[in-house]
Amino acid sequence: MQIKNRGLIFSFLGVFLLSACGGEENADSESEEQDQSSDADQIELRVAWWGGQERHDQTLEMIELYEEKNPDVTIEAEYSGFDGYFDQLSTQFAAGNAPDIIQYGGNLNDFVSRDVVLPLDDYVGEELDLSNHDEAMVEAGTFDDQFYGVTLGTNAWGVLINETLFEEANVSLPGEEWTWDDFDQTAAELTEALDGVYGTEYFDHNGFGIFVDQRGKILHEDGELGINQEDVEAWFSHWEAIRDHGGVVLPEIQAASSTTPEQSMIVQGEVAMQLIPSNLYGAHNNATEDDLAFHIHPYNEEGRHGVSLRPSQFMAGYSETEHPQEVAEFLDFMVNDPEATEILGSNRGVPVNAEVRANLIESASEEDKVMYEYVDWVSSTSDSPYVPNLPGYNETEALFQEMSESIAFDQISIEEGAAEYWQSLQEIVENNTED
Amino acid sequence: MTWSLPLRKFLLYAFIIIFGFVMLYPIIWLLASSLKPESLIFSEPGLWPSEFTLENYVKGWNAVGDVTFGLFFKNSFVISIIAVLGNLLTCSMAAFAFSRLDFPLKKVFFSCMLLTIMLPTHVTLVPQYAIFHNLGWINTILPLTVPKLLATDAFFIFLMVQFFRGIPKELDESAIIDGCGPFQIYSRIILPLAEPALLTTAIFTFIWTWDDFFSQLLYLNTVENFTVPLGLRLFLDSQGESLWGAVFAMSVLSLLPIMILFFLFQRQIVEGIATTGVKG
Amino acid sequence: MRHIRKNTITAYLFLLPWLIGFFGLVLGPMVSSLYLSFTEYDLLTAPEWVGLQNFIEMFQDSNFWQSVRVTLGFVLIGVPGQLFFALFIALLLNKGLKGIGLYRTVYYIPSLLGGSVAIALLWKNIFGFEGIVNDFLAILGIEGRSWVSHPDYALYTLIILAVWQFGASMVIFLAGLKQIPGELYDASAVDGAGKFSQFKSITIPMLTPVILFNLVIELIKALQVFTPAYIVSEGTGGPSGSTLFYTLLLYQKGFSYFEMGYASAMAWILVLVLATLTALIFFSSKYWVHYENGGS
Repeated sequence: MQIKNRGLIFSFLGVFLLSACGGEENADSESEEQDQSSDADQIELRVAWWGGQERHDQTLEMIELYEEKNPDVTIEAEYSGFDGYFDQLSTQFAAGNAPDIIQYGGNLNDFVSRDVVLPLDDYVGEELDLSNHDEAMVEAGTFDDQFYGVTLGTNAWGVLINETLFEEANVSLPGEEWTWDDFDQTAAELTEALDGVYGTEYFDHNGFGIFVDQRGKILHEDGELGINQEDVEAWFSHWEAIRDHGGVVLPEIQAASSTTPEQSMIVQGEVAMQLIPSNLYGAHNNATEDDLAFHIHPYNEEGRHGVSLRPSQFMAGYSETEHPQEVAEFLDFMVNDPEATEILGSNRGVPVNAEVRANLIESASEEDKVMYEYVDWVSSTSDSPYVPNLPGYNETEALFQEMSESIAFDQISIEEGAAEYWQSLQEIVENNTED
Repeated sequence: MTWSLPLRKFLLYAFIIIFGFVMLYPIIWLLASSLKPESLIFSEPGLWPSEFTLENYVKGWNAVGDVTFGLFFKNSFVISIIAVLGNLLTCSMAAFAFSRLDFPLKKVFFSCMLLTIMLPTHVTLVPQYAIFHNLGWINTILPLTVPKLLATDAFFIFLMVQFFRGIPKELDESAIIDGCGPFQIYSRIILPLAEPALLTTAIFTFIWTWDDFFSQLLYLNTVENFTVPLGLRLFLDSQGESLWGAVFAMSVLSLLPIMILFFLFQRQIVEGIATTGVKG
Repeated sequence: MRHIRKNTITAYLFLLPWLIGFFGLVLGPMVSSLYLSFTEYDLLTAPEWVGLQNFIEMFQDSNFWQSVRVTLGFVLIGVPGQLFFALFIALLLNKGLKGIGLYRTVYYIPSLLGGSVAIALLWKNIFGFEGIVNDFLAILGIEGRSWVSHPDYALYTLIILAVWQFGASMVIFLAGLKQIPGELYDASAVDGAGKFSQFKSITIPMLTPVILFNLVIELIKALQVFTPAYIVSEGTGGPSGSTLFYTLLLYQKGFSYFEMGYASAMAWILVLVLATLTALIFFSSKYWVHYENGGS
């Protein structure tokens, strides 16, 4: 069943209205008139992103600059908070009315697999220059050998440490190369020494990816899972041990916390260590008066940290856009243009373009420098391959969290939880890769 | 009931006041949080701010780019007022037909009307969006207002039906004897006597439209068209840095109009009818 | 004959806006969601007919049954709780006390907050580990928990949230109370009836149409409950599925997991249940709802 305009299905069913007032024709002719009345060569591009106030202001400024430099293009900015962003987007896709340029997160793969993202291969090397981009980040935007999205920022996971609390507890700060055992011990000591504060949060889904790498496995590749049930069990047992030693925060406190930096447990003074992506270091720092430091993730016994560079957000085109070439030009501008990238700064993570990075690092704030250094360091020490998010990203992540909670709250055993996760995981991956 | 009257009155007031505090706590908390500096909002546990600032209000009001919150308020007002007028007129007309007139298919349509309340909106959003898209109405206020002019809020039809049915039928009959047609019965008897229901409809429509987030997000794409709930979310990025102080400050401001409105209306609901007097 | 036809035309004129809205804007999407419930539809690619597969899958899905359990728990405690509260407070506030308008407004404030983003934070502030509930418990020497995020208690905090937002039902009850003709009370007072017997023989019977409304609406709203869990659990229905309301799962399936067909199937099962319950209530209403002169 090949229906190009999916909206047609619904229009057919909503035929009563359309026949009743003939509204469709009116609307079309109206918009045509509008198009003709404005400059005939004028191209309009709709650009959508989510973010907070800072990102909105920066992105709007960048767009203004783009319009100045490209007088034939008018940009319609469609931005909002994160709440409902993807619900709105899916609805627009369903009706065939999505913006030309769209910001994605770790779920880009789920949209690529459903053919709504514009393949950019035809423009790479022409309108879109990737020559200065990190290889890993180009790979991150590549699916089935086609390039789909430019990465707006490079990230790496690390452990955020509340130095003020460490000092208060009289626990020494971790060394450069700490192991899981050191981590375990430090966490337990912190809980012991501090009143009402726990050593660490539970690392959840994001930590699991790193853990899998430390076990020498690859989470998944080409639609095939590279792990098995034992790896899942090992993860849960690993944390059960740390929990038993006293280092991990109560599950009910973790469940009440939120992913937003301002409401995170470390900012609220509930834990002294937390796993965060490097681009959120500044946001955490701004939300508290305590001293926070960004530290490398614990190593395994063989001295592997397992952290790899990850994309923060992508910018990609809509497969049905009428102006694919201009889309590519805009994407290029956003990540390569010296002025544009200077305006955008590092709100979305460390820029992928090496030249841009070198340019920005000079004027970077203290917090941004920490982030730049960490990403550089990971980039030079890590041989962990880039592994894209699991297909069915939202669902697999929710499932992992649910199982983690069920185990932490002693509702099911580790074996049962791992088995249930494993079984559902296979189903979800299968559902989201068939095509 | 051997308690003396003063004691009973005292207990009644005591209950109402204590209970009132429990109800009021969220507003106090919201107000207090909006006056704290950004870095203290989440780290300071107490209600009373140790440091007062109006910075959040300034920051929040200036929203993004050169768009201020004033515009969001204006947009919200326009949509809410049209929604109120639409619902008052069209829902009361439909309710009048259902409760006072006889016509073929009445039961079928009444059931259909109730059915529309029962279906969760999440599954009709997408097809509805497609209709409005085909009409070329996206990013205008039409998808948010035209349905109200077409009595699609079945909740209020049902509400008014129940109230209209409570109005004695003899009134209609005597009006018919006086030579009134259905239109006069609707406008001169039913509407005035159902004032509490109409006021309830007006105030709920206003508040719910004012608070509605998702459909406004869906249909309003650019910031010039944004309403208050969309404006509030502009500061929130659960994946990055958020301006909670601004959110709290603007939440306080956005509550003011509906609180004042409610205060004025509730008096009307309760006192309006008492003077009209129903003759049974 | 002509008379009847004229009446019908008049009735349809009154119904006209609703008819246009229903056939133009509402029916189409309803029918297409019914159609989609028999398809596999991910929103992004064309729907594919799969017959009854969604319904079969649903009844074998442990998440589905979890959401049914959670929702029933909410309905069984939340609906009576909220109705009782609303009626009780409405009766209390219907008296001519000084400054009563202010109290009515104060009692409506929680409902004004509606689905505000601040609610989630507020609820943690009250029912969290360091919330004020635990502060009170500490005075009594009881060590509290994080009620809002413990699987054994989270649902109850959401029920409290719903009951706390009883304002809408309260206002409807108040409006209903005000529509009761004062003459009825005067007449019965002349007959020497006491306050309580007036309440029993006038207030309650005259209020039954409004009680019926609130009952049906609260039932529908409770079975469709979404916002509290969506906000407080940030859409996850956690911890470990303890606040996974039916409509929350439906939303997750439809929008987050790209299974709109399944979501539509869930929606229509809910409609079936609600329609049956509503029909039963309407059927029973013949025996307990009092309409003036038994309006049709």
